[in-house]
Amino acid sequence: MTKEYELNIGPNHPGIPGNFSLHLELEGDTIVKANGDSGYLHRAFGKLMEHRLYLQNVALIPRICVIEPDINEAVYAMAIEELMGVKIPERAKYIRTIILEAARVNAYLFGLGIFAAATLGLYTLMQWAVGDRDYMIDLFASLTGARIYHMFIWPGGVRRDLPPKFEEDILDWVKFIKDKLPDYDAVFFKNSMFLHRTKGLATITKEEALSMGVTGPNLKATGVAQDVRKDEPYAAYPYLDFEIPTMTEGDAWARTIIRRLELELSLNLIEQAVKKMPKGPVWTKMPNPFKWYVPRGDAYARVESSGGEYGFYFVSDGGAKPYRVYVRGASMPHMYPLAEKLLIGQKLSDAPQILGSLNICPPEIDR
Amino acid sequence: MDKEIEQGYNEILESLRKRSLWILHYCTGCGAIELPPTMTSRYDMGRFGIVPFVTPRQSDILIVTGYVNIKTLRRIITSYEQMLDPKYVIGFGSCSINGGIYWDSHSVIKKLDSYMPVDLYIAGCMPRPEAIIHSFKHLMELIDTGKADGYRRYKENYDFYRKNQRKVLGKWR
Amino acid sequence: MEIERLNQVIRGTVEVKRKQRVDIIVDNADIVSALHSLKLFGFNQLTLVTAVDWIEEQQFEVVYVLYSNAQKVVAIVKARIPRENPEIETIEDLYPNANKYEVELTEMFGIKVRGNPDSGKPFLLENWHDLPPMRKDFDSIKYATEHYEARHRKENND
Ligand code: SF4
Repeated sequence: MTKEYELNIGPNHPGIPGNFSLHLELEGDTIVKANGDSGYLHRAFGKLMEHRLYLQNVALIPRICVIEPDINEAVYAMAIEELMGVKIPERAKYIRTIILEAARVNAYLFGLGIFAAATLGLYTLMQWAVGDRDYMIDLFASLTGARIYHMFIWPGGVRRDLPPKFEEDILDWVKFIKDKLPDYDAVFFKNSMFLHRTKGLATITKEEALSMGVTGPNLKATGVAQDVRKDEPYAAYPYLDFEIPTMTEGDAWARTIIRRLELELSLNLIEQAVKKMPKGPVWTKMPNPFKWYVPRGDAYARVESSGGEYGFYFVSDGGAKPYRVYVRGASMPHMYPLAEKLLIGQKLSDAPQILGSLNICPPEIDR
Repeated sequence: MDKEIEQGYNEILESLRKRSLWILHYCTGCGAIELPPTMTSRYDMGRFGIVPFVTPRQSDILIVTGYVNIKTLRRIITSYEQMLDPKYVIGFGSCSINGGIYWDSHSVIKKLDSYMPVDLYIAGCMPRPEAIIHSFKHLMELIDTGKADGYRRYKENYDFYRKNQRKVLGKWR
Repeated sequence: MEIERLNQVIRGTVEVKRKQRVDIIVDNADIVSALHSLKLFGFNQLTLVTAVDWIEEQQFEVVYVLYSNAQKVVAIVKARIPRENPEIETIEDLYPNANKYEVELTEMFGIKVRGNPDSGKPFLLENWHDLPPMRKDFDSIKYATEHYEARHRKENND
């Protein structure tokens, strides 16, 4: 005789990836209804940006999503460049690519580390991955001094040229991580606990995923090779040679393995970009940054983040400040309705794995 | 005589306490991203006896990592009240000090110590792991000298805190 | 299935802005039918739903961004609705992920969404009694100064 009861998990719970909570209705330990509750990180970026000059916004926007802040700078810059009709120098494109890919590797290392530790109890991967990520953060810190929010990419290109020896250092780091990958495989990706707890869990089909607006690794795990880097190449991606990895299983295991494959792809992309990078200027000179006026109009700029498609819908009324900005985070459709649907019928103890495998980033939902 | 014994007993307690500080694992804002590096192999705060822990009941430190949305504030206060004495609060980043970059947001509070007693602030946006470790060592000193008395202040000035909390959270408990 | 043919299936203005971007301006009443035809046309993913507050013209502009996975084109569908008693029709049955975007629209702009059972429920905000915060006439600086205590700087640094 089972009886329905309600359970709130989060926001203070290690199995919940970040600051949001879930309201579950359970029958025994089977979930019959799941409702997400977001808003714990709501700061209203749309409103904040309306109060700030275009230059001030450069400092504000990386703070939207802390796992991978550089994508925000890139989309913001791309939206303004589209409206102003600015072309950026070749070298800046390559630098952007390197920064974005390094940030993506960092996001995956961090995300996988937390996923392994908090939901599966495999703390070794977290110790290694988060520690290895820190070496890249040191390199990032050599760009502008900041460890997390670099504010390096801005409209017109990047703020300054790479510091001396950066190119060799980043290649060293890429090689270091590549050498580490077999170790990661041994402790995590081939770990039988990981396999048993994720294989066949929460499977999505291609059609479902497409109809719900799912993007990124979660979509690639169902067999759709959709990636903004290929479909609408920005920065230096048109010049690079790469294939989008896909899997066909569509379960939690495939979603995690895709992130592992993406990590490898990003490392390759960094190598390619560093080798192909031309010399030259890094910033198309724009008039006095305090008086940037963006022509009236609207633009939708998008990039591929570690979670999926990330975009800004950007409206300018010709003034000194943005008129309206809407941030499209990749996690929004992954949480609502995908996670809410996937959780139904699952065991309570599988909920953290499902949420972790979807790679949900709450600040993207709340903004 | 009795007083001296009690005092000595307390001193021993405090010095033991400062050696095992458990952090409540609650990522309230963006500063939470610097905690995993501080916990893991590179900076390894386990050296100082500081480890993350999952339930409020067994934790000693509440780290408010950055901006506090009013929706989060309610949960933080609940978590704080669930923790057992002695408990310490560290305000992390300029957002918890004065609102930081979100000073004009309609959903972020600006001054954390109006709503709960803060023992220590770390400045910076965001503070580096070195700063976090430094702040923990400073907190240990404060505990040693008995200056980290936020939990006592909370009880003494309960009405003041409750009044401020009511002001932003509405009628609440 | 070419983008140029869009003109024939949709009642509204279609403008190819650049490669991979189409702007579609439709009438308030045609939103759902236009999105329906777009979905049949191949725009199978809904990227976002939002609104822009054009306060001087006393209008809201509702914006739907769609993506066609096969043709790799982004369509931006815009419709103006009056600012007084704004109401739109839900598109949840066309695109299941529209639900929360519409809930956000109601919460942030006060635009009612007919047919969406969750419209009007709190989503990101809690205990909110003021104007919908993303409207232009809501002054968030004033609200923040009035409601949240600020730390006063010392005059001299001692
Ligand atoms: S101080 Fe900076 S890093 Fe910390 S919460 Fe505020 S914006 Fe984020």
